[in-house]
Order: sequence, then C-alpha cells, then structure tokens
Amino acid sequence: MEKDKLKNLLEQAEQNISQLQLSSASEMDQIVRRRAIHKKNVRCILTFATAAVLLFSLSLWFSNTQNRKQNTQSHKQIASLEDQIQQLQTQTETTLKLVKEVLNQQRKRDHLIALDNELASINSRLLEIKTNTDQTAYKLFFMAGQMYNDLNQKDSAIETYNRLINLFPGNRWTLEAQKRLEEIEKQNPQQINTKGELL
Amino acid sequence: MTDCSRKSIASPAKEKEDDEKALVKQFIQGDPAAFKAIIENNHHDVATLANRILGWPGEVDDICQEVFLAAFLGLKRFKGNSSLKTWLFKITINKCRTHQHRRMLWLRIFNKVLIPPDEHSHSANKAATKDKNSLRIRRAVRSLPARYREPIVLRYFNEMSIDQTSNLLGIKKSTLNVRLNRARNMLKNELKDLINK
Repeated sequence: MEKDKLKNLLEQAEQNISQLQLSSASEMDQIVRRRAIHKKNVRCILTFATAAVLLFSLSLWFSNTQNRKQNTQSHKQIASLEDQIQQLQTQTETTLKLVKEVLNQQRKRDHLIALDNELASINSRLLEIKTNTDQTAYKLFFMAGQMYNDLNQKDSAIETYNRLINLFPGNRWTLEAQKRLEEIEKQNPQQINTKGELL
Repeated sequence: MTDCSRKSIASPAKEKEDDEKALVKQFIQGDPAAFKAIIENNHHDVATLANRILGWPGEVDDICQEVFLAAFLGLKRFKGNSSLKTWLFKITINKCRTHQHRRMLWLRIFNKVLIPPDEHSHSANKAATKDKNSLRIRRAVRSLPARYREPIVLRYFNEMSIDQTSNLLGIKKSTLNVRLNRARNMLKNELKDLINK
C-alpha cells in the first residue's frame, strides 16, 4: 500500500514544472560539431606538445649522455696524457743524466788530453835535459880526456871523471869515464881511490 | 494480450530501432543530417533524465552538450548491442555523475554552501515552486545519495523496467532491488505525513 502511495507521490513531483528550455536540434548540432572540432584541435595540440616535450627531454637526455661520454673520454685522454707526460719526464731525466755523464766523460777526456799534452811537453823537456846532460857529460868526458892525454894532468882528469860519475850516474859517458878510470888505476894503482881523490 | 496486439506494440519499437541503426550508419558514412536527426529524436529525453538525476536544476543544456559531444565522438564505436537511447542514457548518467562530482569538489575546495537548485531564482522553475508538495517531494528525492536517487529516477520517473534500470546502471537486479528498497524507506521517512494523508 505504502509502495503505491509513494509511487503516486513521486508521480506528483513533476507537477506544475514548466517545460525545459532546450536549444534547438540544429543549434545543438552546431555547438556539438564546433566543440568536437575544438576538442580534436586541443588533442592535436596536446599530442604535438607532448611529442615536443618528449623530444626536448630526449634531446636533453641525449646531450647529457653525450656530455658524460665526452667527459669520460676527456678524462681518459687527460689520464693518458698525464701518463705520457710522466713517461716523458722520466725519459728526459734519464736523458739529462746521460748527457751529464757524457759531458763529464768529455770533460775527463779533455782533461786527459790536456794532461797527455802536458806529459808530452814534459817528455820533450826531459829529452832536452837528457841531451843537455849527455852533452855536458860528453864535454866533461872530453875535457878529462884532453887533460889526461894532451895536458898530462892526471889528477885533474881523475877529478873530472869522478865528478862526471857523481853528477851523471847511469849515463853512457859515465860508463866510459869508469872504464877510463879503471885504465888509469891500472897504470897508477896507488895514487887513486874510488872517489877519484889523490892519496 | 493476443499475438496481434503484441505485434502491433513490438513493430513500432523495432521500426524505431531500425531507424536508429540507419541513422548511425548514415552518420558513420559522413551524412551531417544524421546526427541532427539523432539529436532531434533524443534531446528531450536526455535533457529530462539529466534534469531529474541532477535534482531538477532547470538548466541542463551544458550536460546535454557534453552527452551529445561524447556521442558524436564515440558513435563510430557504437556496436548496437543496446538501443541508441539506452546508450545515450548511459552517457547521460555518467556525465551527470561527473558533473555532480565536480560540483562537490568545487564546493569542497572553495568551502561554499550548497544552495539547492530550486531555491535559485531560475525562471524555468518559478512556477514549480508554487506547488509545495511537489517541491517537498523533489527535495526529498534530491537529498537522496546518488546511488539511491538514480534507481528511483529511472524506475519511477522514467518508468523503466527492472532489467533496463539494472542494465543502465550496470548493477545486478538484486542490488538494484536492495537500493530501491532503501531509497523508498528513506523517502517514506521523509514524506511520512504526505503518505499518511
């Protein structure tokens, strides 16, 4: 019963309601078509915008990754360059050491050459001295011979021979002088001692 | 009812369905007049349903536009499993729900007081406000939650069968009966004195 009463009440609900004011079908059709076009345009724009944003973000991402790659590559290059620099430094150090050694050796060689030259000059002097000595010894020997043979001054001759022996030991003229002294000793054995002094 | 009388009732409905299918076909083929005809055939029904579901605001042109716009964009996908009117009603119910949801959200965000549409000084409903009983009934229906209001509107105002209503709302018959029962009880409580009269 109540159900039917309620149904009747609900039927009364729309009593005295004026009819809805609706736009005409052609107006609605036009509005709907216009809005559909607008919606399509908005969709298109949104799609393009999304695509653009996606492309932009992709390009950003790509450039970032490229930069990272470049950075890593540059880091590697820097590291390899540093290695090369270190190698070059060690090579330069070793080369410098070698150059120093070579220079030292060169200096030593020059020094040696200079010393050799000096030595050579000393030798020539020695030869000079030797020849001078030889000449003096010969002069003394010749003088003693002349004294003994030509002037008959035996004592002076023996003295000169002895002086020759004392002054130039080992000289060939000394040996000759010793032989002459021995000869003189054989002729007058009392008169001469080993030093050539008269007794 | 005899077979002849059944045929006489069934044949106009079938004819209408065939007409709708032909209109849809014409629309898909690109005939601009077809959609206009579809609007002409269904505009009033769609507007009435939207007006009832939304609580008789009197102004439902926006909802109608939304419904026909959705139909215009989606008519190519219409398979014809149900009648065009049923399909449009489904769209209308969905659009009304979205509209109400948006309205509630708007009110929540801006903390505004919900003013019942009947209290607006809308010219369309000025005459309606004269009848106090009908106004009370409409208020009672409007105050129902959407899940109870929709079955009441479809069953009692649009006079649809249980099958049609459950199909339109996408719920089981048993669920629909439960909701109808609860809605009726709520209305009885609200309109006790009017029922007892």
